[in-house]
Amino acid sequence: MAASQRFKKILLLVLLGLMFLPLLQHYSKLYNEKKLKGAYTEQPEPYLSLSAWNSGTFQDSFSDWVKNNAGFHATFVRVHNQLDYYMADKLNAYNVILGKDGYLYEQQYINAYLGRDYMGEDYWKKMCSRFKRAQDSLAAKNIYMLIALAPGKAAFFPEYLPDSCGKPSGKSNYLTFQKEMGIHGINHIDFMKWFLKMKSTAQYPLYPKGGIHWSTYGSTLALDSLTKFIRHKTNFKIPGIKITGINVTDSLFEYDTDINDATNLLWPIPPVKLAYPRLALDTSSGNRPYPLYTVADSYNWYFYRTDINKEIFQPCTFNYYNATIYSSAGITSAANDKYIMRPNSILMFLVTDGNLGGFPWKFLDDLEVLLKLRDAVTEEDIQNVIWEIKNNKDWLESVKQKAAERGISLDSMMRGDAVWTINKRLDDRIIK
Amino acid sequence: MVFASPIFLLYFLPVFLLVYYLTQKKYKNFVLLIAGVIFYAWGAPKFIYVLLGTTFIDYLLVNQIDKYRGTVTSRIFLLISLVINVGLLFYFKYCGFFVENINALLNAFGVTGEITFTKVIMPIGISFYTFETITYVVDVYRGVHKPQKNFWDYQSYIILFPKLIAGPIVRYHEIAGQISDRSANETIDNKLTGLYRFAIGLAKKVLIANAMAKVADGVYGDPETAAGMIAPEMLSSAHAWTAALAYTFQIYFDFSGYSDMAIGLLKMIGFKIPENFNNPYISQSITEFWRRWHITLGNWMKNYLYIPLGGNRVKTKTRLYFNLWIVFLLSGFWHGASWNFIVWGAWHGLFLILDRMFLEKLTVYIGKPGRILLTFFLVVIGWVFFRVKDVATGFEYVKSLFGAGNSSSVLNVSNEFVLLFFIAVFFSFFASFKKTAEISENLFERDYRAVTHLAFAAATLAFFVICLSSLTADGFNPFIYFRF
Repeated sequence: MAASQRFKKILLLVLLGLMFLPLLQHYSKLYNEKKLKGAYTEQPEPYLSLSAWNSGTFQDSFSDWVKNNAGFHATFVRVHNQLDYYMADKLNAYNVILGKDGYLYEQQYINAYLGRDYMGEDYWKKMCSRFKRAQDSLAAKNIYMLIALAPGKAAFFPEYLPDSCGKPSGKSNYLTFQKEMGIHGINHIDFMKWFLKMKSTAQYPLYPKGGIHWSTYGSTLALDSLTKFIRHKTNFKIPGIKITGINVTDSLFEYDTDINDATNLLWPIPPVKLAYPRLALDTSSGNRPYPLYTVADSYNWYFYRTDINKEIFQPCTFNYYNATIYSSAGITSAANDKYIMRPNSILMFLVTDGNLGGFPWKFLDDLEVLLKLRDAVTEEDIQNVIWEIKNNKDWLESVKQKAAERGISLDSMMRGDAVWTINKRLDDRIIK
Repeated sequence: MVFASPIFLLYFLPVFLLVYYLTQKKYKNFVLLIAGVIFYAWGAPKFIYVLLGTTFIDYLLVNQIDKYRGTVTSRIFLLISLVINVGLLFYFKYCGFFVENINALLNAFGVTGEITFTKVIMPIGISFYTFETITYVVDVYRGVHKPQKNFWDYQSYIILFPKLIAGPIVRYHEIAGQISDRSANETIDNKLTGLYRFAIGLAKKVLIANAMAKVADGVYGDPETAAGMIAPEMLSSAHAWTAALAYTFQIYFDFSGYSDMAIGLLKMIGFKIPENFNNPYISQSITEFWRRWHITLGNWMKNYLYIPLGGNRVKTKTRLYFNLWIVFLLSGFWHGASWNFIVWGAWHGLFLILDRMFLEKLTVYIGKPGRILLTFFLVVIGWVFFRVKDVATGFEYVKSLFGAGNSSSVLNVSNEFVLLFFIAVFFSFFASFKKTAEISENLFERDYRAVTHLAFAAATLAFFVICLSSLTADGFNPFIYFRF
C-alpha cells in the first residue's frame, strides 16, 4: 500500500528541517561541538564591500569561510576522516603516517630514521667544531653547555613502520652528529641510545602509540637522568626527582595523544595505557637550583611544563626553536629577547633526530656573535650580498624559483638567501 | 555558485526553499528570479548585467518577431537576435580560438605580424543560456508558441537557476505552462522524489565523479593547464586504460549527477523538465548513444541545426552524411574552443555515419553484449580526445592504450578508488537488462510504500552527510603543531 499523504508530509518536513540544522547550529551554537584538534589557521569572516563583490573576492572568501565555519563543520570533518581511515587507511593530518597496529608517526621522523634528510659528514664535523668552540668559551665563563639528543619515534619504534617506508640507509644525521660530538668532546647526553637500550625492560611505555613525543613516563626518566648527569659532570648540586606514585590509564594527557587527536577521527585509534608518575623533589644529592636556558624543539615541553622542573632549575627559560621564549616573565619573541650569559648556569640544546636538519635554528650564530667568535651579520653585509644576487643571473633565477615555490616575495627570499650565504661564509672562515 | 558546495547546500538552498515554499503563488516567480540573479551573480558579478541585458533585448526582439509574423521584418528581427546571441557566444568563447588559428595560418604562409586579441573570461553557463534563448526566439518565429508577455516570467525562465549553468537545455514550450501555473506539479510526492533525486545527483558528483577525477587528473594533468600530466610514452597500457576509464566515468557521473540535481531541484519547486541522460553507456551504437547522452543538446542540434540543414529529407545520402558530420563537428566545437573537441565531435559523427551506412547492420552478429562493449570502447576513445589539451597529445594517449608506452609503469590506486570504480561500472550498466531497465526508468515516478520512502529518506540523509563531509573537509589537513 502506498504511503499516506500525511506520512509523506511529515517526512518532507523532517528532511527539510534537517537541511536547516547546520545553519541553525552556526548561529545558535545549540549543540556544544568539540573543536577540531591540530594546528590550523582560522579565517576571519570576510567583509562585504562593493569592490570585493564586483571583483569576486568576497564570494571566494565567504565560500571558503562557510566551508570552514558552517555549523557542524567539525562533525563533517570527523565523518570524512573516519570514512577515509576505514576505506583507505588514510589519515588527514599533515605529514602523519599510519604504521602497523595503529602506531602513528610524523613523516619527518621517518625521514630522519631512514637517513633521507642526511646533511653529510662534513656538515656535522663543521657544526661540532663550532659547538666545541662555543662550549669552551662558555666554560671559561662557568656556563655549562650540553646537547641532549631526544629519541625520535620512528627510530624507537621501527618495527611498526609501514613496509612501504623501506630500510634505513645506514647514514643518518643522528648517527653522525652523535659520533662527531664524541670525537670533538662536546658535552652530550644521548637519550635515544638510552631509550633503545631500555625499551624491552622498561616497566611502562616510553613512547605513546598516538603521540609524537616521548611519554610522560619516558620523559620523567629522562629528566631524572638529566639531573644526575649534570650533577656528575659539573659542580652544580641541583636536586633530583623521585617517583612517589604511578597512575596507569588510557585517559591520556593531550601531549601523549597529539598525533591521534590531530587526525580528527570520529572514533580515535585506541591508545595503549600510559603511566603518569607523581613526583617529589629529591634533595639527597643536591638542593640548590641553577639557571637553565634550553634551546629546544617540542620535546622540551614536558621538562618545561613539569612543576618540579622549576624547583630544580631556576630560572628556567625555554627557547622554542629560537623563535619564541617561554619563561616566568611570560612569552616573548626570540628576536627581541636575546640570550644573556649568566655564570654558573646551564645552556642546554635539546633536539630530536627529526629536527636535526634545522638545528640549532641559528641560535649558534647568535651565540658566536655574543662570544665574539664571529662578526655579527650587519645590514650592510646583507645588502652587499643582495647586490651580488641581483648581478648574478643564475643565482637570481634560482632565488626567483625558490620564492615562487615558497609563496613569498622575491625581496624576502633574497634577504633570506643573503643571510644564509653570509653565515655560511662566516662558518667557512671560522672552521679551517 | 555550484550545487556541490557548502555555500549552496548549507546556506542558499535551505533559505531558498524556505522562502519559496512560504511565498504566495503570485510572487513565486519573483522569488525564482531573485534567487537566479543571486545564484548567477555570486559566480559572475559583472556578467549578470550581460545576461540580464541580453535577455531584455531578446524579449523586445521576440515581441517584434511575433508582431511582424510572416513578414521580412520578422525575419530581420530573428536574424538580429541570432547575431546577438551567437555573437556573444563567439566573442566570449571562440574569438581567441579563431585569432590563434588565423595567426598560425598566416605564419605558415610566411606572413609576419599577427592579429592581437586580449583573452576574455568566458561567462559561466553562456553556452547553455544562449542556446536556450535561441530555442525561444526560433520557436516564436516558427510559431511553436506565443511569446511570454510578462517580462519577469520570461526572465525567470531564462535565469531559472537549477538549469542555468549546465543545463538541461529546456525549450520554452516544454515548460511554458509551468511558468504561469505549476500547482499540478507542486505535490508532496514531487517534492520528496525531487529531493531524493537531488541527493543521488549530489552523491554521483561528489563521491564517484570526484574520485574518478583524481585518477584521471593524475595522468592527464590539470584540466586547464595540463600541469602534472604523465607523458603518454611513460604509461603502460593498463595505466592508460585505467585513466581513460576513470575519465569516462568521471564525465558521466559528473554531468548526469549535475542534471539529476537540476531536475530534482526543479521538481521540488513544481517544474517537470526533460531528462538529459538515459543510461548512455548501455547504448548498442553511437546513434543510440546520442539518444541517451546529453539528450537536450542532441534535441537542440536536431531541431535548430540538423533540420534547418535539411534533416533526413535531403536529396542524396552524401548530403545527409555531410549534414550529420557538420552537426557533430559543431557539437564538438560547442563543448570547447579547441581542436580536440572538434576531433571528438568528428569521431562521433564518423561512427554515426558508419552506423547508417553499414555498422548497425553488421553488429547484429556480435550480439547485444558485443554491441554494448564495442560502443563503449568507441566512446572511451572519444573521451580521451575530449579530455586532453590538444589533438596530438590525444593521439599519443590513444596509442598508449594499445601498448605504445612504457610497459613497466604502474598506477597505484587506493581501495577507495577500486570500490567506487566498480560502483560506477555497476550503475553505468545496470539498465542493460529488461528488468533492471524497468527499475531504472521509473525510479522516481512510482507510488512508494512508507518503508520505501523511509529507505530513500535515509539514503538521502546519508548522501547529504557524506557529501557535505567530503566537501567541507576537503583540504583540511592540520599540522600537529605549528612549525618554524
